[in-house]
Amino acid sequence: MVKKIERMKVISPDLAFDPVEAALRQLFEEMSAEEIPDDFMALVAQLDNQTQNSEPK
Amino acid sequence: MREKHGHIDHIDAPPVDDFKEQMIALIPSLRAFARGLCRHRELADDLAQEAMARAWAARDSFTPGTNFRAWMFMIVRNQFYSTVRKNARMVSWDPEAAERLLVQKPTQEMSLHVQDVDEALNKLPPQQREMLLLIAAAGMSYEDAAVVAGCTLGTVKSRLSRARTALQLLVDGDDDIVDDELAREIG
Repeated sequence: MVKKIERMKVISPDLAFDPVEAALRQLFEEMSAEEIPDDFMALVAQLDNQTQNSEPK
Repeated sequence: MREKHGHIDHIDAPPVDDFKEQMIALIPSLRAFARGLCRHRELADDLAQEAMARAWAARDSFTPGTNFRAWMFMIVRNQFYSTVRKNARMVSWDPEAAERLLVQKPTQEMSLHVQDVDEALNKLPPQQREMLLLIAAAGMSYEDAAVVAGCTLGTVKSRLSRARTALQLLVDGDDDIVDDELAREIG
């Protein structure tokens, strides 16, 4: 039992559950899960087209 | 990189299709990181798109096999600070969020709300906020966060430590920490 307690003490603070950091992760995940506006894909297509057109034929 | 037929041939540069696929896959987290930095939805999307265009233009400088996510986040971050210098609207403060802070009253004591953490995050100095966004929110390693922020591992650890403490105090209702932390960042 003593050994178990000692092992628990050395758990890194980074690995311990922290409700504040859990909330931060949730915020980030919620923002990441939002639908991507069309203009992002339009930008990628535009950049890709510019590259294709600038390549020597 | 090698010289071939009189011109520089970037043999280490990723093929355009690979680069494009990686960039598209990162769009959600680029938007989230940009939003976390500038705290404004539309400005964050502008920031993410400007960073994407810059990254595309500089794609030959990216070495395949290295951390694409850290490289892209670094460009978003640099774009953020560059824009902040030019545009007062992005000085890490969203007026709408500030208004909400002024009018909102605690709804349930002793309970932690994601919204409370979001508002507390908004009060932190940008350099501390970005560490929480990179490491705690986005799950990045200390080493990659150091690459993104252009600082040493020791600086990452000290900023993160101060940010964690300040955020916890803010969530607990101690707003005096904001002045102390801002003074420390500026001083």
